[in-house]
Amino acid sequence: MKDSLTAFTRKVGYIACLVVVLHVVLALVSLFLPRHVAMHMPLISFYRKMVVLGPYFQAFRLTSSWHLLVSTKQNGSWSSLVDHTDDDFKQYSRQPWRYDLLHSGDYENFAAWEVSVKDQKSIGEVSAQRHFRALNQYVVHELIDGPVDSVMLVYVCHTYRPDHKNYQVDTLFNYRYDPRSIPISKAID
Amino acid sequence: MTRGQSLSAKQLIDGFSSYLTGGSREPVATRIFLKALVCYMVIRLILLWPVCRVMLHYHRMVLPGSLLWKIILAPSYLADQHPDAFFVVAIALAIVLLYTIPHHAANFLFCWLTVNVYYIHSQTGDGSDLMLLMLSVWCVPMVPVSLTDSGKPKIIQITLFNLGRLFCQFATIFIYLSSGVDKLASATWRSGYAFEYIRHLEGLYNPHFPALFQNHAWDLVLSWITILLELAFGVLVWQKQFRTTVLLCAAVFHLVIWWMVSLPDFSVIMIVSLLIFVNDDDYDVRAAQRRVRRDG
Repeated sequence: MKDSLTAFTRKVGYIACLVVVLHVVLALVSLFLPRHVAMHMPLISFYRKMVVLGPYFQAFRLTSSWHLLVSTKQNGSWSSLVDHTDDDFKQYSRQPWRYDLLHSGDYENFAAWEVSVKDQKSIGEVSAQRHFRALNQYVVHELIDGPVDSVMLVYVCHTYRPDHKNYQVDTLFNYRYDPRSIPISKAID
Repeated sequence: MTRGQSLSAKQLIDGFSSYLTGGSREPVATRIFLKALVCYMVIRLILLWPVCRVMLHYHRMVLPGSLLWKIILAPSYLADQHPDAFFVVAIALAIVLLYTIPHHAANFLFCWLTVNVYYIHSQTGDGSDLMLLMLSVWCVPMVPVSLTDSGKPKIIQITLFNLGRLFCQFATIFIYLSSGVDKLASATWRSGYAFEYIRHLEGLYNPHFPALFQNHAWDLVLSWITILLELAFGVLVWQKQFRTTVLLCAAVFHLVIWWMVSLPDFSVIMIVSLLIFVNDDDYDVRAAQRRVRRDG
């Protein structure tokens, strides 16, 4: 009985060793294999996405920041463009316990990014997109006080240039529209 | 290969095999790690509640096709329709798990909850969500108390526990290794310019971070400290004489990241993940020191 248990323990131990070695080998392969090769191998690709996390703070992610600027038209005149997320972040920097301010613009940035990556130029085309509809609803209900005639959404990318010590500004989209003309994304109260 | 070499390789395999099957390793430290992970989840749920409530108010969740995923993500659909109800139930469940005796079922429930929180927050989530998800998966077999006295099931339980613990350690090491290798290959990091870019990341860089550190010499020093720490972590953490030092350095590193670039979620989950490298003896030593101080 004791011998059979010892043999079982040894067998389980060897299997566990094999699992560990396989895991480490797969992780190292997924880490060092070029991305274009790894993406054609499902197991390696899975390991790269879900098991070997990172790399974090990659250089190309540190160069740019994205901003959604909002302006409204009332009684024939446009208000100045406001970056609500930046305002919230500045307030969070002064009040670090206000975690909600740190993430307040996450959804608006996500939706704006999704709108920007689609190759749709006119407001007619873009208003069919669920992300644009959601963004419009978010802007109207969360960022704007009261009814307005028109809304202007400008999504820009600021890329820092160390040689010039300034930012290169690229406009990813600029839409002016009547918010009431955009179909709703999700039925809300 | 000589006879001596093959013998030493066999000894190595036997030794490692015994390590995995010969008793649950560091059960006290592992239990503290598991509790810290659940505690992190409770705080995260409380903080994410207002953020997700706004997002779910506008965002239409996409349903997966397969029945299995529909079952797994059923709580996410509750969140989609009734976010407040989901967060109340999720926080209550996490608090119950915090006080529950260790069991595979409790670990599985925690993993299920993490999968759903990851799915709900995936549109706007960051690396901390994925790290928590992966740790929760490896934690499923980690039950630091013996659930059975009979031979074979007990050996399987012990082996799975040790494997889960080892995989959690690997998860943390691989994050550092992949980040370190990437930075070493990047001219932006090697030259120190990465920190100049970070200082100009609007909406992330803390404007109140001390100006003392805002020059190229410090950028270069901080860049190389980051690269060396990330590359060396996976080696030094296994060395008894360096383990405590490297864990403390990593914890300070993440606190600085939190302060500098306003990433509290990521910093805290990484500090929690470091707890899996702490041994039972470390807690005993500290408890002994406290007793000595208390008793004069």
